[in-house]
Amino acid sequence: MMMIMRLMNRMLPSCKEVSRLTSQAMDESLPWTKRLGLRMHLRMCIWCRRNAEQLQLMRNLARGQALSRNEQARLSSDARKRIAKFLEQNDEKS
Amino acid sequence: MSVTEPEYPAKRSTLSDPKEWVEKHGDALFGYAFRYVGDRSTAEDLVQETLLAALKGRAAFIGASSERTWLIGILKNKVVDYYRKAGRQTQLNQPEQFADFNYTDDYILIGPDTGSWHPQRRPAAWSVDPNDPVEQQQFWDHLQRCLEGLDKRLAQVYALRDIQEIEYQEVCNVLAVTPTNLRVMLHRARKLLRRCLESHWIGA
Repeated sequence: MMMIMRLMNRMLPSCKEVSRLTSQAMDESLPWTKRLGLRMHLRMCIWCRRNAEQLQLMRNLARGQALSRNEQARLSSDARKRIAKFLEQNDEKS
Repeated sequence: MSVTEPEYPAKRSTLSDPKEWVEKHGDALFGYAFRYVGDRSTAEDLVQETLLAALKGRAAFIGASSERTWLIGILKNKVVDYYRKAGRQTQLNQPEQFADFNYTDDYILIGPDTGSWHPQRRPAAWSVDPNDPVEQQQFWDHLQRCLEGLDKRLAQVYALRDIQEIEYQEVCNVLAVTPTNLRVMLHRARKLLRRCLESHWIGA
């Protein structure tokens, strides 16, 4: 049993490595060996599971907020006038 | 070959009067710029620069794309320019902040548990209701503050990818970094921000 445990530990990625893989998996699909190691480690390790869940939560919340903020992004009427005037002046020169 | 193919004239678009550009494309350009730089006044500057460049370069417009697409193309280059200049400045006078959040300090460095979480650096439990608008707002405010304290480059990386949801490769293009480089920076940014939120938002 000890032998198997030791062997498992040797094969499974460490928390440090899992942290790296967790971040990477948020952007691209991992090779299956890495994915397997990540999944098995996350199943056993509450700290790494928290880390992964919290990073995902942060991203979801941030993207949700940004989406509604972006929708409201309009050129203000001041900026509109300023830019129009600026272009007119530069058009005369050219 | 006696069969003659019917000739279709290629569809060419023409430019409208530059006086109408701000009205017609102002919001679209601003929206695009705002998404990439996250700041109103910078986005306004980029719109102005874009339209100026378009004005000066309109003789070169060949009509292969629509006016809107052409303008967005110019704006994309302005965004890249902006980040190139910003990158140069941060390298000169931006010391690495959050120095206490040392990269390797989170883990045990020697012995049989090498690479496991250091007992004092383990992620704490978060009790957050992601559907509560009040908590969403609090999260956003704290995230902004944490981003301000972060190294400029890391903050840009995080904002583009995890806030503005821009494709991985596109972030590489905009910031002129390699995919490997971006992966390392994103990991670092996420780690530092998670830690910052944990101590200032969750822990408060």
